[in-house]
Amino acid sequence: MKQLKKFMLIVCIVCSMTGMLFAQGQKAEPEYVASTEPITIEFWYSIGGNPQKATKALVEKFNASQSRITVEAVYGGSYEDTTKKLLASVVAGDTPVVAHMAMAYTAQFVVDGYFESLNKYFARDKQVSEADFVKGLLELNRFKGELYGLPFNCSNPIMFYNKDLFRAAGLDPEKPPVTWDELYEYAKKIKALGPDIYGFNIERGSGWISQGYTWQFGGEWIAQDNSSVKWTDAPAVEALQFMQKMFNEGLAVYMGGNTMDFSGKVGMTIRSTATLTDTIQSVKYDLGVAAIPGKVKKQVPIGGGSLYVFQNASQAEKDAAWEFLKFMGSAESQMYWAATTGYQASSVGALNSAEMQALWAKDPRFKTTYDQISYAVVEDQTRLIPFNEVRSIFNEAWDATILKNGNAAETLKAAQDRANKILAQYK
Amino acid sequence: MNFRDLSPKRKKKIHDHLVVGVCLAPSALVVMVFTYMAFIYCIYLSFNNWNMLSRIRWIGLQNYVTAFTSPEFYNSLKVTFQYVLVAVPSCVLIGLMIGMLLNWITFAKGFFRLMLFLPVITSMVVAAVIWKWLFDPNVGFINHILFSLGFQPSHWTRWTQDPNGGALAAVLVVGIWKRVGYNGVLFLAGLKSISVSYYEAATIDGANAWQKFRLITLPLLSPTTFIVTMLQFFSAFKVIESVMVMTKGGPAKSTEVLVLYLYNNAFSFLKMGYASAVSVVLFAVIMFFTLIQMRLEKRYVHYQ
Repeated sequence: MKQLKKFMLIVCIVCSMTGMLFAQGQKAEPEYVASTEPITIEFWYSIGGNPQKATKALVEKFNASQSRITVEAVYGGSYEDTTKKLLASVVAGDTPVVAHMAMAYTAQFVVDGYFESLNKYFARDKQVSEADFVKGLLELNRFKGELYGLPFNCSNPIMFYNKDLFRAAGLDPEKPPVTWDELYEYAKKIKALGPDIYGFNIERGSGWISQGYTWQFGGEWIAQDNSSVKWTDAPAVEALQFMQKMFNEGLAVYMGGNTMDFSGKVGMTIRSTATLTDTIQSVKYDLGVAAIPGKVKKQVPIGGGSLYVFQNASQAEKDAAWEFLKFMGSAESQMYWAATTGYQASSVGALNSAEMQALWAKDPRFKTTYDQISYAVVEDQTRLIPFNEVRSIFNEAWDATILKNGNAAETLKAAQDRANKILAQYK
Repeated sequence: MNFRDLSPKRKKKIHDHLVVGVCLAPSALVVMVFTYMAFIYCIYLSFNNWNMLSRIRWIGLQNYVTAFTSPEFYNSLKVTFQYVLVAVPSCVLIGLMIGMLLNWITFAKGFFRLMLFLPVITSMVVAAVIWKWLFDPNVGFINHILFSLGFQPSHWTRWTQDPNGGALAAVLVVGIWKRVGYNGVLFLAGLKSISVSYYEAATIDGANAWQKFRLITLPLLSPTTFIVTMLQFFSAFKVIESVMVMTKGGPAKSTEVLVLYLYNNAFSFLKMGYASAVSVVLFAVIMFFTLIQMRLEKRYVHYQ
């Protein structure tokens, strides 16, 4: 009911604000002169836990590093929650200047022109260039030649495993499985330890990790032109059947969240590298980290978030926002961010820094995500407008197959038909 | 004729009306803006295509056509009815039992009332988060108890993970647990208002406990029962928080109630127009059942 009220409220605000929305026009481009006027800009950011603390610390650092610009950081909750709040702010005509969003949720904002293109800022600012950022991460934010976001927190999924269970099962804790078939054998041995011990946790509900499974089994998730999904292709079906088999044989659980992963009752799981620090702090067992297993090929999706500047902010605010973005993307900030959270640094400078080498030497688990860069591919398909809906259909098909013991080929076929129907509307 | 020529009595009446009007205006305004305007705008949006970011585009009845040809819409309708059909009778019956027990009990009255009312004043989101943990299929307390009592694992004991009824059952348990205390207190008030003399007369006439309950308590309690049923009905139809927190509508849409369906369409899939159309349908459905209940009220409810 609360949600309904919220919805009504938004709808209501719209009544009075619709006029304002479309009133913004393009201003002529004046010559850029760095301002000296003090200015305050609002910044909404996402993701709780260690990332929240790290973002807050970085904002404080930025505010202390100079006296002109004050950034007011507002925590918006998960990616989904922040996106919903941003939508409400757009409708109300009162957006923040900078927002931290998951790339997967930004397509509609980009298409409808709510974000400022960063091209001109890169062009006029000699202190920073596009080459300072890891290429794949930057390209995630490019749309029709224009760069809309600065990569801030990037990640790919890695394998977490419980070395204690490995030892108990007579497996070498320093030799995690490198293929899915090996993982299956390992899971069998770990499962033999007891009825409430499981070999593997099939991550449930996020969608991007299961999308990666499809890739590793040699398939594609969606056609390159975004016109149709490829879920009935043999690899997509095989990936799902493989997981279903592990689940039915009792080798694996199929759980979202982190309860099982942290409980110490699961041998192996695939999670984002972003949760590395959280996991290290939360588990009581000897935690190992390894690259994701492969089957036909090795391929992992790049996920994560970027910083976006709202187009309807004043030019002075946008200029201030650019200074802030530069700070957040700098080698120093990215190094701090990566070390505190486990996220992958987006700055080339951070990657090559002595601190990074020191971090890897101290805890090699932080290196895994970088080892995967060579086969990390842009998440299918971030620029897809009905992405959320299409992905939720995919997740439902997985639920229906694994939890209802459905026929993988049939549920995926039904899901594909639904998804393609939606995609057809956006052609 | 002007104000001065009016009789003092009439003047006072006009004056009173003005005072009342001014006092009511602020709250009336809030209701107008946040309920009725929103409602009317929602009806308008239901004929449009809008994703909150783009321009609003008129598409006539298309949203309604989409809804009534969509299996997902019918699924959410089905799940909602399943929820309502179990939740409403359970809430009313258990509420009645609680009310009677509270009325009958003579010791630690305050304690029991407090205990039963605590779930009512607990935030639904907080309660749902805790219940989600209790229902966890692997590390949850409920399964721990069940298994130590000798229950065998089945698809039901996967609770929030079970699309064949377990997830809906888990959500229902929370919904019922949350509501019965309130109903119990309403029934208690209803029972207290029944004059003892009826029972005394019945005792003299030799009526047994069941006869007293059926012929005195039930009819005289019917206004309370009606109110409780209506309230349960509305809240069950609009259930969302518990589902959102515990299952997010899953697994495989087995708990995706209508309000969650429209919420997802509005805020996750950005189909504000379509979601508005679904909410108008929800309004029509609730309206329909309310009218039926009003009819039934005339026939079955006895006022003292």
